[in-house]
Amino acid sequence: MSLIELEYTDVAELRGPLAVVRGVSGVGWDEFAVIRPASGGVRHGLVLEADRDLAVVQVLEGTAGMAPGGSRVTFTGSPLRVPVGPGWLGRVCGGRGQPLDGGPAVSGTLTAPVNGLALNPTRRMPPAEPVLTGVSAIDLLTTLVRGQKIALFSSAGLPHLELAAQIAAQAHAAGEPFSVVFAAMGLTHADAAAVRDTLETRSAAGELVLLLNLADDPVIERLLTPRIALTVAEHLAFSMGRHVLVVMADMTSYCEALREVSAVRGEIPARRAYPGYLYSDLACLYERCGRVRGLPGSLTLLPVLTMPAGDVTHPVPDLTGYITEGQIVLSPEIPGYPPIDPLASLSRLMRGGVGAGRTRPEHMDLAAQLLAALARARQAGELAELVGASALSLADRRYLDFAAAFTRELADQRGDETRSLEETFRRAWCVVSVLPRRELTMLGREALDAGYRPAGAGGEGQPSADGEEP
Amino acid sequence: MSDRIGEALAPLTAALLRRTEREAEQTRERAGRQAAQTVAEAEEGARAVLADARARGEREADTEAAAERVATTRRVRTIELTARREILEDFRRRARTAVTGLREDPCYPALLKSLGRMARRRGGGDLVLAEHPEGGVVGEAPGRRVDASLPALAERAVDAAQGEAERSWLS
Repeated sequence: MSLIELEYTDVAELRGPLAVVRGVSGVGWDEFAVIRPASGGVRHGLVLEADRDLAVVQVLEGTAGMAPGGSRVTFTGSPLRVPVGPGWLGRVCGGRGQPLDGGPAVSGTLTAPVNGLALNPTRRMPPAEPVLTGVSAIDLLTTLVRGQKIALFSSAGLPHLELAAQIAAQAHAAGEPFSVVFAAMGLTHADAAAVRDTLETRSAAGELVLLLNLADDPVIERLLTPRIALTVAEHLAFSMGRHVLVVMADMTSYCEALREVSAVRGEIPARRAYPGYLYSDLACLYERCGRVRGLPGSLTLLPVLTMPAGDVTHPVPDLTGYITEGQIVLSPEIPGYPPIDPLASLSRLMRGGVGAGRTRPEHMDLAAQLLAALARARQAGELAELVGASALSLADRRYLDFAAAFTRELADQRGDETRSLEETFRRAWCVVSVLPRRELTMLGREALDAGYRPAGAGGEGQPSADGEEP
Repeated sequence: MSDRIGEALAPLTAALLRRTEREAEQTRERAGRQAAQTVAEAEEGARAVLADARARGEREADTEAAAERVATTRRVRTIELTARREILEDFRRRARTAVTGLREDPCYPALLKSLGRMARRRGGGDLVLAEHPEGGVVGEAPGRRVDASLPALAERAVDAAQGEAERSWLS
């Protein structure tokens, strides 16, 4: 914006959140606007339509209390840009980037357009190296990899927000510079307060950017929140060399906002009234993460989705699933916290982030063995429901014991508990050692000798007769 | 007669007595063992209850301490951020005072002319210009307005310089 601004004063009509401004020239679609109503204060808007000398502006704060006469509208000449840089770290802001923590507006010597661009595919590097969350079920079985986009699928009533906040509070990149950008969308005040409490320590350490768009905030602001989050994160990652985790919760709220704005624009609705461009809109967000050749940082994305009525075929989880590289699924069938369903969850790029020199040499094999055993235990459990546990074979009963040990020792974890990778592996070996050694066909002899420790065995890693015998 | 019967039964009586004593001893031993076991179990139970209570107490204390830590951290952070905002607001006030003070400068008439030219360049030649009470000019035409008043220019200049101020806080 130049020092001398041109203001348009002919606001022809106010309708709902829309203001129609007459007599404009050179105004383009999606341009950002600043509105000064006669009643005082400053509001903000986006151009939804521009036709000849008319511009339709969606006022982010709504038009309540505004009168057409006396309102002044300034167009900034570009889509919304935000300052970028380290000034965001440690700040708590609204969904539009306005401060909520008592501090001044975030500023910086550089600005960037919030719409951004997807990473150039020719400069993209495959995701590699893990982002450790301190949550055993994730670190062991669905490891996040730096530069990956992996969704957290949940249903109403499950603690997805608690888990997302826990991941944001605990995640790290094994000693390398790490930051978290948490974009909360459509949250209730109580949920937002809980998220803020969970993330306070990380925020005070200057490692977190928290953007809070609440349920009663304008819906169009909700469209800006993930874009601002990604713009800030891109600079932290690719200009400042940090590993950045962006958590977006809840993307279903975002998509509902997109549907609402699309209806206001009079666009033709597609599946379940979402706009036909829902897929490309989500892709424009999700494809901004990754690693770039020649640059040190990475941007990892964790969108959280609540599936309406638990329906995985709903357009939001369905289209998200096409773009993301895996999913962590929360299920009401899983007891305890976090209720991650390991058999429905998958990190497609896990192989690039685990193994010798990254986590532990036996990581992939141990995860595969645990999943295979859990699948067998699930079958045994279904059979037990029909014939009773006492009618099962001894081997099947051991698998049921294994599943119980998995839930009790490994999956179940307190909301404020950070587990180191060593602790997670120690527990995983304890759990897998409930099974007889001969059942563990996916693990190499060396790994078994080092890690297998059945109950009652004298020495560490020494298989006992009990371990061999079903 | 009765003496003879007594003598005849004496071994039996003695045997019965020994057996009774042995059984009584065994009962006493069993009772002692059971008592010891009950006491041991009670002690074990008491220890478990104590350990459980201690663990629960520690957890509650940890939770309370964490909540207190969070509240303190937030208070400290809020104080720091509020101080930053107040410094900026003070900077803004000073800039405004300094800029409006230009009205007393001998070059002010030339500045007004220059601002008028810039306003017309921005808003069109048909703008009707008027001097702002606090200095500078405001131009208006049907549907358009250009605010080149000194307070507005000061505001925008401070906004543009805020990034530099942020850099000094972070360095």
